[in-house]
This record gives sequence, structure tokens and C-alpha cells, in this order.
Amino acid sequence: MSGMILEGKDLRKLFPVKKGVFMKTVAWVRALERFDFRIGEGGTLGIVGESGCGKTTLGRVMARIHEGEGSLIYHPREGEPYDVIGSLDRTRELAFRRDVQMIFQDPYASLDPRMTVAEVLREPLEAHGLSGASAAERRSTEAMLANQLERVGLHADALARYPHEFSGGQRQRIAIARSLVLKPRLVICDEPTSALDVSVQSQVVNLLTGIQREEGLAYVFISHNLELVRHVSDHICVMYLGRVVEEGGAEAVFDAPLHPYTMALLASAPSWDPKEKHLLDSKLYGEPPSPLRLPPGCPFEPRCPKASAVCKNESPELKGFGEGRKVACHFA
Amino acid sequence: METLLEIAGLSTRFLTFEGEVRAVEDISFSIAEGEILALVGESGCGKSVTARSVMGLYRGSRVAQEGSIRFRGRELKDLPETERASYRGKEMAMIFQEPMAAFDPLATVGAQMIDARLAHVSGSSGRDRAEARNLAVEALRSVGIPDPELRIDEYPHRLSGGMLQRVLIAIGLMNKPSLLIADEPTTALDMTIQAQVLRLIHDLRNETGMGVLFITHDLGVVAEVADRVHVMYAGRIVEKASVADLFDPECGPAHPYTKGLLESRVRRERKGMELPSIPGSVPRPLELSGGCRFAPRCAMAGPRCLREEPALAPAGERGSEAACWLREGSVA
Repeated sequence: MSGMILEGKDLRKLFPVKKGVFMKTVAWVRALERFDFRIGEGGTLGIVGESGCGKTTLGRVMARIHEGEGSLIYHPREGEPYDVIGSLDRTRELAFRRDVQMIFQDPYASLDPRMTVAEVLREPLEAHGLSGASAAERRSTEAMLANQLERVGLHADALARYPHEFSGGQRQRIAIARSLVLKPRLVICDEPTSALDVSVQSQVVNLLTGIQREEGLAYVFISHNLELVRHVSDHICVMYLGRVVEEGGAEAVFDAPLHPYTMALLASAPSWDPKEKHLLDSKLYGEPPSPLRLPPGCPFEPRCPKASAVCKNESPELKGFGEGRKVACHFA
Repeated sequence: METLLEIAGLSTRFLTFEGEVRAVEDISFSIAEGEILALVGESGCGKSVTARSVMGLYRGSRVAQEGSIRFRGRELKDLPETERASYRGKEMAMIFQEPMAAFDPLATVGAQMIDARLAHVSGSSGRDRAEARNLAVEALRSVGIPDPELRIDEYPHRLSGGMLQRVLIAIGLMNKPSLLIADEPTTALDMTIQAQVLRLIHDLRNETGMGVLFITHDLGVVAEVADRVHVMYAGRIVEKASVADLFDPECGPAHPYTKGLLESRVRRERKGMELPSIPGSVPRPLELSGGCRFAPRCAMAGPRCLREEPALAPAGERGSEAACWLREGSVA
């Protein structure tokens, strides 16, 4: 990893819970709490967790779709780093939005059905005033778009067609092409393969990793699929109820998990071996508590096999264990 | 063990405005008491249509069905609707993929459970209702719902997805069916919850001796719960094997599609490498041509595969079957 791209410190996101005729705020959901991260050129930060753990909120806060709290420092290619939380001047705003792109989970929902593929791909360029003024410039833009499509494994003649004419995997390729037309430095991938068929998932993963090798761009890879996150990531954060419970190098976290939740997650992944059938002996019971009624101590305490009195009352801090490894557990 | 369900030459076709969709074509299989048979395939391969055909959920002039569906030796396909209905939810029960969509949001789960019971008893007096309610509480207890006496009066939106899936299973089990059809019962659930639901189905099979038709796209799950596996592709069964043989490195799959599915699993040894994948995507049912349906995506395909469609036939020494010309040594 050479240049830094994005750095988050104490990132938080609260969503209001509103009730009644006047939509009075009656409570806050802590969707994301005290999240620190750094991501540099060519690196991949993996985020794993189950639904409701805050991983999608995190991706959206990073891309500034949701306005978070705390600090999110962007290091541009040239010039001084700046915090992108709060209001920004237009140049900085545009620079950030150009360099940080996003790929969404569901390619059936993320492409406008009334736009042709060419229009879908041209829209980011138009938003940034890069689609060209003269006829000659426009022609070169079209050629570039055709190029992009071929790069993601589609034919250039797809430009004139509409999203409904494509399969899920092909649509996700179009979404990937759209995220790349502005030559971003960081792409946030929110469950990019979970809506796709098994046989197509690996095609899309290969495409993403191939592009990364060629261009040196960075990914934030959000998924509930442990094996997949391990495959693509350098550094992994395991999230539970809006907090990081364990983080570290991908291999370290998976080979020697220190947090009971990480252990439980790993034990819940099918073994692919009928002689093992380890799912049938897994000892994890219950479900995550409602984020509105979090336990006062460790959020995992009600389900944790190791929990004791201290876990009920005190929320564990994320403690460092060297080499970027951090764990939030009283017993780690 | 007695054979519960015997399907022979089942085809289900839908007449649409665009043409005839052959969703399921000429499939045959059987399930014995106490056996879990997995039907595996990607979206659109016909696995759900097979389940719904067995349950008799398709009626009307736009659906054409052929073949036979025998339950304990009795032909169900030509039964009048009233008699067919007496099987549905009693002898054979079905649980659906999305528990959130399977309930009526306006009735308590208890009311829906009591209805499911009263549909199959003669009376609906106060005493029958009270009896049905007791039965429902017991059913909820057996699937591991805490405080079933209280939970039974909750509305569906008050329960989480994993809880609702348990309730759905409880409804399916209330009338003590001898066959349970589970259509992707864990796909909408988180991993740690999936492990619990799989364990539940597995344990209930052991306790009650019911047969289970387990439909899934996830071969990892198959290895955990099933005894035998049938792989579907584009409306046909392309491979039948025991789970032990399919995942045994010394035996393994016989059909290139099954091989591709097994290989596209993300493995830790392949970190940083390309993942093996199956090129192309699943054909749309209207686009099927003659020959083997997998041939356009198959690396082993030869001229014969494009000409003639292979039928299921014994492959290997362990009793597997595959629909592939490779078993004859030549595809020329």
C-alpha cells in the first residue's frame, strides 16, 4: 500500500426513530459506532457481518450517501487531505464524488430501466461535465464507453440496449462499468455478488480482482459471505450491531479468530463435507437483540458461550493485539 | 423404508404470450420415509416449479402438466381439487423461501396456525379451536420458539425472519405430515440463523421419520443436511448421486455442470488467484435449442452435445446417474 485514500476516525451514524402524527423522534438507532479505518491505494478492506450489523450503513457513510459523524479524511491525488463530513466546497465535493464510487447489491434495482446502457454509463460523465462539448469529443466518449463495456466482458453493441435485456450477472457488469467510467481510486462494493447465481458469482469476483490488479484501485468489500471476503481482502473488520468486534489481517482473523462472535460465524459456514456436518453441532443459539434495545454491556453477551458477569455490565473496548489486530472482548 | 413420493416423467409447461415455457421437463425421482433429498440448482432451473407441481399449486388453462405424482402409491395428479386439498398441509406440507412474505400481516401467527389445523379436522367448535391452539403452542415449542404461549398472539411483523421461518416450519409440522417440502428455507436468513434452522429440520426428520424434499442453490448446505442430491439445470435433472459420493474426492460429480458448481466454491488455498467459474449464464427457457442444455457453457462439449440431448443414465460404479455424453467416452 502506497498512498492513503480514505481514513475514518470515530465514525458514527445515528438514525432517528419517529413516531406519531408529528413524527417526533422517540429514539435513536446506533447503526454505526466508533468505527476507525484506513484504506490505501490498491488495498481491499473487507467488512463482514450479518444483516443489521451496520455494514451497509458503513459503506454508505464512506461514500457520503449518508452523512455520518466523526471524521472521514480524504487524501486527494494532489493537495492537502480534507475532512468530507459536513459541508464541502464544490471543487472538493466533486473531486471526492468522482474518486469514490459505489457498486450496489441488487443489479435489478440499481440500473434505471428507462435508460439505455450508453445513457447509464454516460450519466456520471455528464454529472461531472466530462462527456464532451464538441462532436469530436462526444465521439471519443462513445468509443471510451464501448471500451469500458468490453473490459467488463460485454459486447460494445450492448450500448444501445436496455437493462431488462440482460441477465443478473450481465447487469452487475454494467454497474461495474458505470462505477469505473470516472476512473475512481476507491470503489465501495456492497454485497456485489449476493444477488447473483452461484455459477456467475465467481465471474464477477474475478472481474473485480482483475481490474484491481490492472488499475491499482482500492476496494471496500462488504459481504456476509466469509469465504468471499477472505478471498479478496487484505484487512477485515467483523461487525456486530454497529460495532467492530474484531479486525485484522484477513488470514489472521480467519485462521485464529479471537472474538467468540467471529468463531461462531466461522462455525456457521457450511463445511462442504458430509463427513463433518459441523453445522449440526454448532452451539450458537438465539438472534441478535434489537438495535433499539441494546444490552448495557457487550452486544454479543446474550448469545455468547463465554459470557460472564463483567460482559453483562461493561461494554468491552476494541483492544490492540499488534499487527493491526484488534478485538473487543473481555476474554481476548 | 417405504417410498413416500414417486415422481415419474413430470413436465410442467406454462403458456405465456411470448411462447411456451418448459419450466420442468421429464423429471423422475422418489423420496423414502426418513430421507432428505436435496434438489439443487440455480434460479430458473425449475426446482421451485417442481415443488409447487408436487403440492398441486398450479391450476388453470395456462399450465400444462404431464407425468405422474404418486404419494404412498396413490396417483395425485388426476384427483379432484377437494381430495387434493386434503393432502396439502396434512400429508405433505411446504415451507417457502421468504418467511416474511408467507404470512398474512393482518392476522396473528396463532390465528394462522389454528386455521391450518382446522382445515384438516371435521369440526370448528370452541373445543376444536382450543385443541388446535394447544397443538399450535406445542408446535411452536418444538421448533424452539421461546415463550410460545405469549408468542402465539403476536402479529408476524413482531417476529424476526429467523423466528418467522420457525413458525412456518411449525405450521408445516402441526398436522404431522409424512413429507415436508422445504423451498430454500434458509436463503433469506443470516448464517448463524441458517445453521439453527438446518439443525431443526435435521432433528425433526430424525424424531418424526418424515421425508424431506430440500430445495436449495447452495451445495454447502446440501453437504450438511441431505442424504441424496439431484442437480437440476434448465428444467431437467442432470445428475443424481448420494451426498457421500458427490463430496467424496475419490468419486465426485459426473456431470460437468455439477463439477463447475463444486469448483466455483471459494477456497482459501486460492487466495489472490482467479476463481474457477462457469462461463456464460443460465439460458432463458424460451431460448433453449436442441442438444444438451449445458453444452453452450460446457468446456467439454463436442458436436454430439449440440446435436442430441443426453438422458440420465448410470455413471461410475457407485450408482450415480448423469445426463452427459461424456460417460460414453466420446462427444464427437
